[in-house]
Amino acid sequence: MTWWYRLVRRRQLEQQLDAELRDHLQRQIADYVSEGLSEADARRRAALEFGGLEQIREQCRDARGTRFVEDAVQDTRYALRTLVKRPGFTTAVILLLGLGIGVNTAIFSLLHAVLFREVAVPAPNEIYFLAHRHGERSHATSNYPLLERVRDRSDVFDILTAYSRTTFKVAAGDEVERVAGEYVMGNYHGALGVRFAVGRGFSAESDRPSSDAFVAVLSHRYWARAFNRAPDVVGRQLTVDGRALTIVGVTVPAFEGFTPGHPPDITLPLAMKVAERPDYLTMHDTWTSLVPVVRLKPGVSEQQATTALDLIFRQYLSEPENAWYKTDSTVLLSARRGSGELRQRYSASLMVLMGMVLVVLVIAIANFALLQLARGSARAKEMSIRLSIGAGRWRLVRQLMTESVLLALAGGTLGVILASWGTSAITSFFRADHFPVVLNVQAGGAVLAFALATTLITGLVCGLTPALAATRLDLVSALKDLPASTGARVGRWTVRRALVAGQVALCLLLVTGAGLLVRTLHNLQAPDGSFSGAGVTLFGIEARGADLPEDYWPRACAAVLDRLSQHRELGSSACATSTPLDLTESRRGAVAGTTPIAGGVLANVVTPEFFGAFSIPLVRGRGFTSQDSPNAPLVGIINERLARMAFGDTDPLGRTFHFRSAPNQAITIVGVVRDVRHNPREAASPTVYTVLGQVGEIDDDWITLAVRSSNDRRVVADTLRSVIAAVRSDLIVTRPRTFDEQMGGLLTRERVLALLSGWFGVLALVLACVGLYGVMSQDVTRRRQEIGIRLALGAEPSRVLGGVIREAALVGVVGILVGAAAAMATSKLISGLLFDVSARDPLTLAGAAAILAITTLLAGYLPARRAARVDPTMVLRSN
Amino acid sequence: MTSPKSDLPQGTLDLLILKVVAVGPLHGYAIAQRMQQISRSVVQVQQGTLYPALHRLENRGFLKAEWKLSDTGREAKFYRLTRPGRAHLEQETASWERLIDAIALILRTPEGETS
Repeated sequence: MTWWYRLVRRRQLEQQLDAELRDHLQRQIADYVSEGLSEADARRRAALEFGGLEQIREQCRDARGTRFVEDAVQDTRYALRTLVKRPGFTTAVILLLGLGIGVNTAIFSLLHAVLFREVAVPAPNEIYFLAHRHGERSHATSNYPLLERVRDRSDVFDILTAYSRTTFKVAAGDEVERVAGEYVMGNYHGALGVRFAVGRGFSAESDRPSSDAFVAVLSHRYWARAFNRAPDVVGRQLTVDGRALTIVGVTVPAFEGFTPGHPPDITLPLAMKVAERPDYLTMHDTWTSLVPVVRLKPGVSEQQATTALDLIFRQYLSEPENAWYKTDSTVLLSARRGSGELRQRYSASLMVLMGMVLVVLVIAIANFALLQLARGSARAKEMSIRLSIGAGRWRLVRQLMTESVLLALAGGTLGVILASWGTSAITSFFRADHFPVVLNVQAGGAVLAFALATTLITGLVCGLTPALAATRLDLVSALKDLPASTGARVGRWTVRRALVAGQVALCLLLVTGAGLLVRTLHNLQAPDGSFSGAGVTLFGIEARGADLPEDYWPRACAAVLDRLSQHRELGSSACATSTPLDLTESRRGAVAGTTPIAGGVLANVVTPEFFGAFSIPLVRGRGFTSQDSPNAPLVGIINERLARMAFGDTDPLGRTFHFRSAPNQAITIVGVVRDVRHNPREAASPTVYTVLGQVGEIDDDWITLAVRSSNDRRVVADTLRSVIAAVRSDLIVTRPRTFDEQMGGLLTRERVLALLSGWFGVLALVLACVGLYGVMSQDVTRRRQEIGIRLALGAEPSRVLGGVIREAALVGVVGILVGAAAAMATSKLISGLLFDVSARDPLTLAGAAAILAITTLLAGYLPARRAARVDPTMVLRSN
Repeated sequence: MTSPKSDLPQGTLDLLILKVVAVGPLHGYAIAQRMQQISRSVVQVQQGTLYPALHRLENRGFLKAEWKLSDTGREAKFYRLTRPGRAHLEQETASWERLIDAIALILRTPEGETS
């Protein structure tokens, strides 16, 4: 008879137990009767000898080992009945905990997606990136000749493959779309064990171009978006970068490559890249963007593999033709969770958010505990009756705990529903990013486990304190119906006040954090007077073809800008390779006169109207004009920082510089402009502006066009499209956005942080407010009698009012002081996210404290007013 | 208790039950009777404590219960020793005997020789 059977066949077992015990007694009676006793005597004696029937029954039930569950069922039933009887309380608590658990689950699912998700291939923990370390940094780059040498070490590495991230131009009807993609080695899918929803992966062993290489693999997402999940997608044609390829497979949805947040939608064999750059396989004088991925042989330790790798590397570098690269060591970086850019970028923010929502949850739990405590005093009588008739204390505690766990479970369920909402809302912020982050946030096992664990802990913590308090009763006074606190001293520090003060403290911590993050966002957005982006609309202009002639962009831009200038409603417009705050980082080697410029310069190739379009103030000299044509003398404009760096106090005008790559082209400096930042968090780079068409080739097949106009972005875009259709139909307009939109995308992280932390701060304020209000008004209710007597004896109502407010203020002050100390202590955690404001900024802290002080007083005022309006005659009559 | 009989040492009730049932299937009342006969003047077995012990042994798999028609014409619950029960009985008997021998040995040792 199994435990389970004993549990579910309870009723049958009870009947059998009865029958067995009855059988025993009847036999005993029969025996005594046959010994000569009367029926009645026999019955009495048998019963006497047998002992307490109910007690024996209980012991037999205990022997079944199912008591725990039976009690739990009983507790649950009882708790449900009690909760249904108090719908107001139940709804309030479920909402409270639902919010608390919901925000936690939402942030955790983001955290999980960004920080913990593993790459969807078999045994991801055996996979490593092959990287080389130079100074502090590790670079997972390589080149093909080196990879071939590593591949030969099949005694250490099970497999070696590599991928290279890129974007592809895909023809979609008349338009051309940019799609994130990768070139991968021919063995990539097979070697890693990538699974396919439809079709297969690449099978070529060679990365040399061949007719077999005209194939493509799609991501599940792209298949759904572009092909509507057509089952017959395999074998269809797709035009990528102007070449017709055959689709051979679609990866499973879980596979998102090795770059979290940037899954490749289209994957092409490396051979296609080689077809474009025939020297790619032999190029050994540079690192390419190939990221090598290895899987260690079973039984080979990371250490052994690194040693073997280091040997190959040193040998490679010792060869004279490869001596160009200085490297300290080679390392294997775990590829289990993919590459780390997204983690580095968001982990600090997500950790801070996680901390904040945990604080919100703690505040919600404190509120629940307060409500339970309040109910506890209301149920004091019930508890004391049960305790006095012999109920075990633990049994009562367990029953109260059952109730709070039930509430927490209901709250948790609501929380998971709210979270699935919340996460999609939060991930939509990420999509507005400058580099759209694609996060596949799903309520997977880990997230649900987190929600369940949070729920249970919440339930247990919420239940335990009030349960212990409720069962530790002064039985006599509770039964006599005396208020427990008659004559209690005013301002006594009860558990409840400590809880409320704690809430205020945590609230201050959150509001301070939110304040700092909002100020950071504000500081990053504040204009520094070096340019004005207001009213500027930006476009990408892309060439449809490839292999552009050298004068392609000067001609194309001239044609488009000329036609645009005929539109009177538009202001100045210009083309440029980079624009303010676009995160350009690349620098070019340059020499001022004969002195090389340390660290190089940011080279921006622009058309003459650029400074006008962005209102960049000229400090000295002149701007570019239409006279600075390709055949005119070479001219350049530098920014103030470069002027100081290269020329010190001397006048830079008339001096010359040249780019390292073009030593024969001396460029004369004709002007100096203000420093324009390209990264909102960093000071401006030393910058050189040259005229499009004079010097500086354009590597990309696109350029940025900026148009100043008061018209709506869409109107400007339509104008531009019509212009381009008229003069240069070989161009495509992409990514229309206003400067402010681009800026917003750039500061996504900061905006999301400021927004979410602000909301969490408000949520915490409301919760703490409710908590304080509840405690104060309960106090007033309990002290009605005392207040009534005082008023009857002539106390001024204003003094009563002041007294209650003073108590609330005391709780508030203690909370604020503790919170301020906590804010100081935790300032390190948030300082990495701030810009131009200290984590211990006194102004922010003071502001937060003021908000809390006002909130506390408001929460105390309503109960205080009620206290002052107590009618003495009513109170005195009632007792 | 006014009775001069001693209480059953802890843990021995189970052993006695198993021993009694080892003879063949018995119902609760018969087990109680047998135990009273065997231990008549020495130990006190409270009849009521028998049943929780029987149920415990049944749930541990040492006894198997069956409802059978009995001499009274009613169905009664008969307990039978199972194979694990028999093994347990032998094991417990052996350890019990070892304990008794050891205690007897200590008690027989003349005073002063123990140290």
